[in-house]
Amino acid sequence: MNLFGNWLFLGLFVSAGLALIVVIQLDNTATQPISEDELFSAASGNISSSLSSLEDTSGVQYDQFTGEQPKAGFGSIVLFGIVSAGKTFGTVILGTFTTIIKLPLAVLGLPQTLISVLITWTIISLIIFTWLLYKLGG
Amino acid sequence: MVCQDLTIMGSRTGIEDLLVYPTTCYYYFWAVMLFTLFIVLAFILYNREREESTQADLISSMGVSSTAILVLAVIGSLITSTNGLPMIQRDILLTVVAIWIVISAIWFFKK
Repeated sequence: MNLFGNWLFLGLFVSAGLALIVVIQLDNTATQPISEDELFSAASGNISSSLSSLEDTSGVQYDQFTGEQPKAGFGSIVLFGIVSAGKTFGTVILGTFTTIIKLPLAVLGLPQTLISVLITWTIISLIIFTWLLYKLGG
Repeated sequence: MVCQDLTIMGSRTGIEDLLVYPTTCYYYFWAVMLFTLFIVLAFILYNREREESTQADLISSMGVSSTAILVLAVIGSLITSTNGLPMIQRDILLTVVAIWIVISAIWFFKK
């Protein structure tokens, strides 16, 4: 949950910063507004859509979780809804990561190996996170 | 890199023209200035934090100063000379934004 929370707040922080730049430049009629840059508009649009889709995703997962009938297992209660929630939030984290890292990757020319290492680390963390949810749920 | 002639600015030179002037002879002038300011600000904040508490964090100082530098860069992009050249050009602002995102990401995951 710590990983998910960090990604969520980073996404909000970056999204707020980008929106602030765009609004300040538009209100003061900047000669070279950053919003006209293709890379910037694509990155900020993706972050906004990724964050705004969270509400629908959370709602669907909550309905699925509350609608499930708990089954008694060996010393535990089986709830498969939590696995589905873990998978969905894993996809959200990966999507936010890809959109946030896209802009620095293109602008700063970061090496592909560094990005590969970061993506591998994120994916492995997500697998462990989903597995922990499955273990606790099942 | 040395500016040859200040008279090219014309007789009606304002403060905006004077601020934009260095970029006409060295494109990355304000980028270098912002970077220097970022380093100085980060180390001032770090040293102040180290004096006040035993657990100082350089990444958090860099995160705070990068946000301040981003605001300065946005203000700089609004200052335009009479010939329409901004003090901070779009590609330099984009670089500042990219560095701010990287430092913020490290800062958030360090916490």
